[in-house]
Amino acid sequence: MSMDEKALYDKIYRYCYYRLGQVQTAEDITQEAFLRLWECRDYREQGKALQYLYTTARHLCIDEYRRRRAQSLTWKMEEQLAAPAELEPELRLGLRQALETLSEDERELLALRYASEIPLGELAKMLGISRFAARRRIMAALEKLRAQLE
Amino acid sequence: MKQSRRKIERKGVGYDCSTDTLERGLRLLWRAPAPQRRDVFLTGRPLRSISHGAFVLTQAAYIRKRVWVLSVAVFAALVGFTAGWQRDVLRVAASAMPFFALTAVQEQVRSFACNMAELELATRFSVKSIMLARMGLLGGFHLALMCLLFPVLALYEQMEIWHTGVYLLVPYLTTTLLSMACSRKVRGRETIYLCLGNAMLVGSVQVMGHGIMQWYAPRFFGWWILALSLLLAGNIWEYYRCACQADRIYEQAGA
Repeated sequence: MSMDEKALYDKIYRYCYYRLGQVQTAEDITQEAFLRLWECRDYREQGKALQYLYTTARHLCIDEYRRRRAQSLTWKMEEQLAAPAELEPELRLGLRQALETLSEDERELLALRYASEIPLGELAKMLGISRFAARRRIMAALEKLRAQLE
Repeated sequence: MKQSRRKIERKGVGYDCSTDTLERGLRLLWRAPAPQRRDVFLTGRPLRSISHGAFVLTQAAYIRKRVWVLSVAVFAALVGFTAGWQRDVLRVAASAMPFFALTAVQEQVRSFACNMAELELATRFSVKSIMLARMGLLGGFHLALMCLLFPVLALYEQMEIWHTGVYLLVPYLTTTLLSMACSRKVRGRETIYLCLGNAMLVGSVQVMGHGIMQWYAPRFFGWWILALSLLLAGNIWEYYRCACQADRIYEQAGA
């Protein structure tokens, strides 16, 4: 087991957790994405493992979300609502409300950067844009958040 | 100072809106609990099956480029010399064969010479398979080169092609046999020096043997066939013993 794989696993797991808010489901989807990666030789050899894992995990999360949406509308936030104590309650509430005003793409970008903790360089490579463009998009999304908070 | 870095106090709210705060807030808001099954999952990762052909090809990539280049260089020098001098070419070619073999042996004993056998044993494929694949690759490559040389020598020496083949394979296989035996007995960099010594010894014997007793004469050919058969068997046996030694190292490492 390499450190690279551990780090990749953590990144994808955190992304899935952001999308689904459940530890077990997030791990199931992460593992499913890894199994598909190992089956698919091309992506691994081209060094695009993160991109492949992210795309697969995203699609699996969407499938899972659709499958469960009919069962319960509130399942998504069950565990995420148990927010960390280090985060001031006001800021937490403010951030949640502000995030709702962002577009799906902007939220996704922020989640990849701050939930999955994907470094800027890798994120840019994953999205097929320059590092500068990736940083500009993140800063623009943060600006929107700030505007909402103020 | 940039707007994003400036702290802006919200009236009646106890936090600022700097970029650092937002980044920290988002990280905390989306912080996930530690995964519970990660190590078990990654440790139990299923290994992808690989065909024998693909395995051998992957090993070809690990053989150092200089080994291929050196093999071709020795062969080219041999052909050049044969074409240039045009006499006593069989003796010269047979004397050069040990050095030709040395290029393959050098690669073969690399893991023992560098004390890396244990490390290789820890990898997905056993040293036995790796040794066999590399030996097969380099041996096949050398044989292909030699096949180009056989007819040239047969032409100059006025003998049958397969006779020249036997005369060249005997010193080649003698060198590989002695070198494998040395690599089994001696560890570390000394292995390489011993293999070089073997090559020089066999080369010298080839030069002197023909000078003293004319051993490329047809009356000795039966002995050459016998020697070739024994050397083939000896090489297989020596490979088997090397593989067994590798297994023992593995067992000791596992114990």
